[in-house]
Amino acid sequence: MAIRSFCLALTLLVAAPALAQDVKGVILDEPSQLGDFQLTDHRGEPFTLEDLVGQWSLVFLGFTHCPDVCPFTLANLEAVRSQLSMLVPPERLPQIVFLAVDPARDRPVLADYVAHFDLSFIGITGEPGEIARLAHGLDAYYRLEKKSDDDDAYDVVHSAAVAVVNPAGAVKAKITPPFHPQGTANYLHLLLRGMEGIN
Amino acid sequence: MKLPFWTILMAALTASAMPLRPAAAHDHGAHPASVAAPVKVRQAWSPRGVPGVDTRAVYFELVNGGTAPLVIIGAESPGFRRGVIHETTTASGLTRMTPVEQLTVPPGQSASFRPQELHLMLTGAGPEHQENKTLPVRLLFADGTSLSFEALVHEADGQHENHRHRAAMPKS
Repeated sequence: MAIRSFCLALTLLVAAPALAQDVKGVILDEPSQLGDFQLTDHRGEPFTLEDLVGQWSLVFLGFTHCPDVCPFTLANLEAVRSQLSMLVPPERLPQIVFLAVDPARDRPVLADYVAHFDLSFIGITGEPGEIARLAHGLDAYYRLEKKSDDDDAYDVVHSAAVAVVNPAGAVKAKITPPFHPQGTANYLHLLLRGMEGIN
Repeated sequence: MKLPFWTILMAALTASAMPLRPAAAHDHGAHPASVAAPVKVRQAWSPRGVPGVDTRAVYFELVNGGTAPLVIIGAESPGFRRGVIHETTTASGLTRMTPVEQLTVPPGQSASFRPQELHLMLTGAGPEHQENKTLPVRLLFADGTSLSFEALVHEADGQHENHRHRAAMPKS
């Protein structure tokens, strides 16, 4: 058993940098500090910059009625987190934060939505101005394409990237699709360890 | 809930092999005639719905084994208000869905509806669809015919190798 574990560890050590290179990511030389924002999480509790401080976070922006991109991104992030849990101790695992930018449709279902992917996921939303404030800090973009008051099936154009926020509450990197779980986990593992020459 | 691999495989094989059922198998109001047998749907599935969210995506491969072009103009599913063909694109870091008014599948070719690319989007679902193990779908064609099939419902699991790789190829 010990030999098997050693071989697995050795394999990960050798293969991880190579796999991580498959990930499309941009690491910021100077992390971009997020400003204050006042949002609410899926449990109805306030969620502010303080909730991003003290741990790594992966923040993805989307909307709950997105049938295609958002579910697969969140499912992949759950798989990334699962893979990463084999590489880092629990206290260093990043929290997954879903910034729901369509509050009228998102707020009523946000708790069920994030729990659908993983109970540890955090969904946040709030007033449009506060959503825009955080999105701006993340260098993300979104636009609700509601054509009329009775249009209830509108699309939301939004950034595809996931922001990697460091424990100081600053954006350290952005990763873009595909979010291949193993490669992305290796990429994040190296990033969390400060090995930034991975692009 | 994850369906066993063999269940999914058998369902996929069955869908691709069995003769097309007449459109009247599902009560959607007017019933266009069903299409000729060379047109097949394979590997139809839909990610399990999220409580409270009334949109669903359906993925499949449509094979036109006939001798004439096949023009899809829409789709419907009982209990949903609308079915629209959408194409997801990711360009300049932004992802968006664009409605596809009609889609032509040339004879001898197929169209792949798959995650983060072409998909059928159903909207206006009732609560009964959250727990269904299959979704009945009917594709509508420009020549007045239609094709009915059942899409298996299971997780949009990031650890499903095929789905992950398909999800990994947004058009840009």
